[in-house]
Amino acid sequence: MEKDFSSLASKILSGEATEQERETLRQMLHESEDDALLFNEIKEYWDAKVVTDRNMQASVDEKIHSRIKGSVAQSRRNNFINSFWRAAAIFLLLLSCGTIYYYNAYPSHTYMYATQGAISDYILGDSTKVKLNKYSSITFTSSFGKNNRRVDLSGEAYFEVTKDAAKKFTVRTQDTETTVFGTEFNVLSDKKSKQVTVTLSKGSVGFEAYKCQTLLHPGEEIVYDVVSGDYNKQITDLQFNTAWTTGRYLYSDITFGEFIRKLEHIYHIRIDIDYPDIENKVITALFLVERPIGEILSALKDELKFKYRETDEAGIVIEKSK
Amino acid sequence: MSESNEKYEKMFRFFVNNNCEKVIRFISLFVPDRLSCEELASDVFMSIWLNREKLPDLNVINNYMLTVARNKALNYLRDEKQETLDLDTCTIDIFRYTETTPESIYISKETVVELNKAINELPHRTKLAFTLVREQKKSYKEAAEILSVSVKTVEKQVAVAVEKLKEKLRRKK
Repeated sequence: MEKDFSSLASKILSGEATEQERETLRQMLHESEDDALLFNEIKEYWDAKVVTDRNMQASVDEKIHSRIKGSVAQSRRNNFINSFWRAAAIFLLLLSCGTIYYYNAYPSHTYMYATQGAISDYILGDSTKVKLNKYSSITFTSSFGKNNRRVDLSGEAYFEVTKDAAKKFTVRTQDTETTVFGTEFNVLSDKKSKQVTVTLSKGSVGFEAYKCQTLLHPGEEIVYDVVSGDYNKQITDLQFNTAWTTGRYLYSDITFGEFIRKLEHIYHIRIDIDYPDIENKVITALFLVERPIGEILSALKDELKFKYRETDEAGIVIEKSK
Repeated sequence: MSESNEKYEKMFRFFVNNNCEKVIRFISLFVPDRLSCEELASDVFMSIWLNREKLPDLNVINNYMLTVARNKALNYLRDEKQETLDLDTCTIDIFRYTETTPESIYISKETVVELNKAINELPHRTKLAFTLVREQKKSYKEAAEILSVSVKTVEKQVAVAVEKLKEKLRRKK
């Protein structure tokens, strides 16, 4: 009895066919050109790549990362308390059953939100909105919102703080404290250049650090040097410092050298300039957050006459082009 | 302890990176909504992460992963009280959020669109079996386990899907 085309073809495509079945199909395709073409068409469809939307993948990856960070912080805390209780014995079993209640009973449980290569929005317990830039993180404890509203920042974040006159909202980073009651502001903590930049959009914020205590008004920014304690307060164009929150980066009249340092920060990549003359050229650049760095550099390379290549350590070197 | 934890975390991130697409693809076969789909996929990985000590090596938990994905998706649909819980009447487009690229020797992109449409007209269980075997390269046995049906059923379903493709391609001529 002749087996029909579809059941044979499907078994072969699935890799489930026996040697005999393969031979039968081979015969069939040999006898009929139509069948042979048909099989090839179906096989091409079968083998065609089906690719899932990249954005969804990135978003899941991001979620996992921040959730794991959270759970690692949890388990560390967990271990510490466990060993404490082991000494006191008895309740351990009961406690490990009801993990959630357990944490509530211990106020100093730590939470962390962290981003990798994508910007992410978070809402804190007091409904304060935080937009976290790439490669940044904020940490806070479970006492957040109870007697304080304090977060630790690494990297850059834009805060829209919910008004609460009774509890001030504090952002700590590199030994500085920015304090507000309810307002919108941006904090950029650059560990490489040891600088903290706070830019205020609305309301007022207090900035406090070693040798520095000052109040900012809307449209002002402060650049504080963590090492020397020097600071500089100036009127700023808000658009520039907060453009990243709308998915764009905007740099006006900065030198190429400065621009490259910003790119290093944004893309978390090392860029060396092997072309001294270029560093002082002044440029203005606007680009979208999700563009790959290669695209940005290649848009500039002809105008500024440079070329770039990737190094073995996944960094980039900029050289003079001939 | 923290060092080994960090090491494991790195490995796990790598694992997520490698399998993210598979899991999203599989869940999107059940759940039409994009955000829920992302949320559920991240739940699947979290449950693997949280059970990491009880699970065998990350390399061999492939089927487990898709089974968890199936359960999460079905639980979600149940919680949402959606009528789509009946898999046979489920009409979601299984090629949403995807792009299919043929080699374009025998068939064109337009033909692919038509073939995708034809596959979408099949009963939902057939679509699931077809996708698992075709895209996720599962054997009939593995697909049968994930879908809790018999191997014979999977075999029949894949054949039905191929028959559908054949009809579509024949009619074009």
